[in-house]
This record gives sequence, structure tokens and C-alpha cells, in this order.
Amino acid sequence: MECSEIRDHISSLWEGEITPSEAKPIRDHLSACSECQREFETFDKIMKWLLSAEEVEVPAEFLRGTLKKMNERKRSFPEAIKTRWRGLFFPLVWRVPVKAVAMVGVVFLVIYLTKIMPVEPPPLMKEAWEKSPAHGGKQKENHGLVLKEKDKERESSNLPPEVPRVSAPEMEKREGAPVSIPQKTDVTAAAGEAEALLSKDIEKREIPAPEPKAVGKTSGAEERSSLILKPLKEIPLRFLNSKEAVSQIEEMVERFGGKMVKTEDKGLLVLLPMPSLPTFERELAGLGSSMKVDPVDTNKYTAREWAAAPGAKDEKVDEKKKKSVRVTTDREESVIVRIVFLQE
Amino acid sequence: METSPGLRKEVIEACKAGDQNAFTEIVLRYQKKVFNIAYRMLGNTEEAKDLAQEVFISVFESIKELREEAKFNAWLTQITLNHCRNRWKYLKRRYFFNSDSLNDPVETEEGKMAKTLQDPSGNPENHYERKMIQQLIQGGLLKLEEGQRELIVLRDLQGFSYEEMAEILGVPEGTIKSKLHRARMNLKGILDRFVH
Repeated sequence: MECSEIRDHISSLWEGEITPSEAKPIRDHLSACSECQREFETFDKIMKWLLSAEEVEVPAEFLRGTLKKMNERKRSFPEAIKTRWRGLFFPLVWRVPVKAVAMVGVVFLVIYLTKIMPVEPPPLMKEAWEKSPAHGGKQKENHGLVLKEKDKERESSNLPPEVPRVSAPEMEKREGAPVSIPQKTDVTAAAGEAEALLSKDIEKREIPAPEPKAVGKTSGAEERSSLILKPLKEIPLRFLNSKEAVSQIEEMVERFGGKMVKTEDKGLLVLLPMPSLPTFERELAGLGSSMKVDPVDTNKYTAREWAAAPGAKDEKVDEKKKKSVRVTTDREESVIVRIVFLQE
Repeated sequence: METSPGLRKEVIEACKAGDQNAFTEIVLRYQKKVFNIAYRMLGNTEEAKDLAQEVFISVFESIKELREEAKFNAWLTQITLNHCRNRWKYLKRRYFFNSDSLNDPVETEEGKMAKTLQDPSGNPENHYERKMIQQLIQGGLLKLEEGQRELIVLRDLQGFSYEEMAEILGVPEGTIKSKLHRARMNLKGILDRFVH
């Protein structure tokens, strides 16, 4: 056996843990190798020193000191119990996951609640903003948008939809019934119905005073209508008797659900629903001495420019009609038609 | 693992119930063992005393967690070793073991004397030699790595069996034997110059 192998077995040999057959070659080597023998002897001596080591006596008053320390610990023992019990029932191993789960739960709850209740500005805030002076100047321009907004509110609040603004002739056309002459009250009644469905703030909203030279009972409406009105059309009309022509045109305009806007020296300005315009033109062609309808001249005037034209009459209309016109012009496409008199 | 002779199961049960007399009996029965393990591991009497007292307080506080009363001895030894490891780290950080006690002269009634062994046989026949051997052993142990020191203290100084050591340390017996052999050879290498 090699010396390194012998040294690995010295401890086992000394303790007697190896069998005699295993011990023999080791002892034979030890007897032959002085170096290994010396190693074994040194090992043996140190092991004997270890076994002869006496136990050190316990210092005096050891028990007393222990009991004293324990009593001092007992004074703060309730805290230790709390800590221990807290650890038993809610050990650190549980605390971290529980906190993490609680945080995740809160996040999900917030997401769930925000999805159920979409954030909208409170109505009072909205009303205050709309009534504010800063907002007043834009009321005209935004009225149409506000009304559209109201539609959205109605949709979100599940209110019944407003009556669609369709002219009487158009409605009857859709239903297949013959065109009948609508009464003037029909338009107003429909407008009144729509008006009833609007919120009060629209009713209370005041239309700012028109400019000094601004014209027309529907000046505000016209400006508002300009948002959605088609370009102005001009239809020349030849006739013999102007008075008769005017009265006939007025009757026609009312029949088609339109409105007389202005009466001029050389013509008429009427407001007509867009869908009824072609029919109106055909019927207008039947009036007068000759049928000549000039091609449409769009965008010649905007309603605003017309309203600002000198010599335009300023007619007063009651608040209700204003509203009705406002509703009409803003609910459907309308066109202002200028009928130019070409007297023969 | 058998219950230490004389320690009745009722004593442990009473201690679990908070009986201070039972606790006192446990301290008296195991104080020398605990103190000596602590002393051999730390090499200082005062530190060993404080540590041993902390061990018994820990025993009193956690004895309710002991499920098998028959394994009280092993359980107590585990607590002792745990405290020793913690205290060793604490003291080492504070350079408590910087001095080389192996080269320190032996303190006797005649004064300090250098360590020399006149008797080559190694038999400690006189007080001086016995004291010197004690000091050499303790110095050699403190030079060992902590884990090797535990093995020698448990096996060669306290007399634990390989089976008990395997249970206390939580490693197989074969591992205990091979590590113990290496620890002894290292200790031999440390103390070799004092033997010859």
C-alpha cells in the first residue's frame, strides 16, 4: 500500500472500525515505513489528549443568572408571544403573497369599476361651463354641436329618441301616401315636440342680439344653419304680375314645408328642405309666363352674407318660432333659395 | 436516540406547561454539557456562559415545538450549535479571535511559562502539563474550520455516536466519518510541532 492510502486509514485504524483483514496490510506498512509510523504515533497522541480533556466546570451562579435572564425576558414576553403567534398564524411566508394578492385585487377592482362607469363630466359642471361668459360667445357656433351632444346624452341615458326631423312631404313620400299640403301648424307642432324633448338649458339659452345691420328673425338660425346648409341656390322666375307671383310662391313654400325668409324688391328668399327642392323647382317652373330655370349657382351667397346685406329687412319672430326654425334647420339639411324676379 | 438517563418525560411535559421547577431541573441536568460545547466552540468562559444561558432560555420558549420527548438531547444540542454558529460569526466580525492562543505562554501559579512538553509520551502527569494540554487542545480547535470543530467537539469531547451526530447535523454517517477523519488530521497538523 502507498503511504497516502495508509494516512487515509489512520483514523479508522485508530478507532478500530476496519476489519482485521483490512487492518493487516496497514499494520504491515506501518512496521515497514518509519514515516507513516511517526504519523500514526502523532495521531494517537493527539487523540489521547482529546480524550483526556476535562470538562470545564460551569461558572458559579449559572442557574441563578439563567433564571434572572428568563424573568427579565418574561416582562417583555407578551411581545414575544405576539410575535410568535403572529408568525405562527401569519408567517412571513404567507404575508408577502397575501399582500401581493391584495394589491392585484385592488388593481383589478379599479379597472372593473372604471369600465362599468365610464367617466363623464357631471351635468352641473357642464351647465356652468355652457353658461359662462367665456362660453357664451361660442354659443351660436356650438349650438348645433350641443344639440348633437344632447343626442349622445339621450342615447347614454336611454331616453327615447327624438322624433327625426323629416318634413311632412318627405314622410308621406316614404310611406307612399300622396303629397298633401302640410298645414303651417304641422311644422310648428313637430318642432314643438322636438323642443319638448330638449333639455331646459337649451330653452333658457339666449341668442345673442344680432348685429345692428343683421337681419331676419332667423338670423341666428341662419348662422347656425350655415353649419349644415347646402350652398345657396338662385332660381330666376319670369312673370307678368309680381304680386300674384309672390302669393303663389308663398303658398308653394308653405306647402313644401319651407319658410319665407325675406321679401325683396327683386326677389324672394325662401328656406326650403333640401329633399323637397327638386319638386319645388319643377312646380316653380310652372308658374310665370315662361319656364326658364337657370342652372344652379351654388355658393353665390352664404346665409351670413345674405343676412348682412344692406336693405335686408329685420323681422321679429316670437321665441317659439325661432326655436322651431332652429330645430328645423339644425335637424335636416335645408337650403336657402333665392327666387329672382325677371318681370316681362 | 434515547432520552438522557434520569430525564423523565413528565419533566419535559411540565416544562411545556411553564413549570419553572421543571425548567430548573432541565438546566441543572444539561448545563455542563451545554456550557462545555459552548466553551469548546468559542474558547472563552464568559462568552460560553452567556451563550449557554441563552440556549436554556430558548429551550424554555420553544419547548412546546418539541414533538418527540425522546429526542430532547439531540434537540438541545442542535439549539446549542445554532447559537454557537451565530455567536462565532458575531465575534469573528469583531476580531475576537485575533490572538494566537497556541503561542501564548501557559499561566501557572509560578507565572507564565512557555509551552513545552518535557514528557514525550504525552501523559499529563502534572498540573502544568495538564493545563498546557488543555490550552493546546483549545487553541488547536479554534484554528480549525467551524464545521470540523463541531465534529471533534461532538465525537471526541462529548462522546456522541455517529448515529447521533448524523441526526444532529443532518448528514449521513459515512459523511460524518470522512469529515471527522479530515478534521482530526488537520488538528494533528496544527499540534504536530508541540508533540515532538
